Amino acid sequence: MSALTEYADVLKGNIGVRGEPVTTEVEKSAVRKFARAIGETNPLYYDPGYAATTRFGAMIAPPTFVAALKGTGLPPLPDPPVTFTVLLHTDDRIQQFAPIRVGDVITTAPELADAFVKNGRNGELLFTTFAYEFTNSGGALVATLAWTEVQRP
Amino acid sequence: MTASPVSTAPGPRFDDITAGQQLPPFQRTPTKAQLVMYAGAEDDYMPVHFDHHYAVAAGQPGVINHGWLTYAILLQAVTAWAPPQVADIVATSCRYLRPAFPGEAIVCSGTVTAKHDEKRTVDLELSATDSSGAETTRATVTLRFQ
Repeated sequence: MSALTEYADVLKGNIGVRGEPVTTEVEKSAVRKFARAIGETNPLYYDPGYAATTRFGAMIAPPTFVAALKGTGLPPLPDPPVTFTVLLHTDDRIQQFAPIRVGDVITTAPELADAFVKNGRNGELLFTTFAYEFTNSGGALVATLAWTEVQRP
Repeated sequence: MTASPVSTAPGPRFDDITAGQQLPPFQRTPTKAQLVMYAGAEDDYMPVHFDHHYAVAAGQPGVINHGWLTYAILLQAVTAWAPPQVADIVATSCRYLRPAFPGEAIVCSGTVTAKHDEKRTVDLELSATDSSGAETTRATVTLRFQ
């Protein structure tokens, strides 16, 4: 068994381990900046007066805004046995249960959801998936995100 | 900056959508400046998205797009057709197959793969190709109509 496969097994034993929660207030300027960066022009992301007349009642965030709410921390995990040189983001999965509105206070925490090794063209690859649940200040689950990345020694 | 005016036309009617239907063509070409804007907006400062020398040392021909930016553009192929005013994206996934580069077109296509009358949802498959026709990114969306 390779060092990387052994490490993946150690990580499997840590599935469910969570990092520090991150709480973010969804600000109008942050939503506008995000919408502009992705090239969105829908006034739901820019104009509170217009948004107030819609079924949302307030400006909302675009669907991939969860990327900006997830924070940059990771769960505390055992150190890898090798130094990784290449890191690529391979998969995302989002579920949205309610709109994320300007003014919402959203809390999430990164959780290790999966770890496995695959053989690629250039040797072994370690895949890890981090899962996030986004809740609002009322405690309601508004979205989930599963984020998978791949590392190569 | 103010939002440029957009059509807030009601979009397609759920009853008119059929499985197999193609989405209208959608294409965007992110610039390097847009990658920097995106890095700031998402808070993602991975150097492979703004540092040419770093990207080359990492084996890329130059800086690469944020996967999430391509994903956001693919979803706009859906929301340009059926905006949140008429339908919610309730589930979506994305797979990044190969890097995409600033200055190159992201050509999006989409197909309605299934329609569920009782839930008022439609499932879509989306694909982004680069200027050489190679698929860089693939996504799925479940859209729930009002």
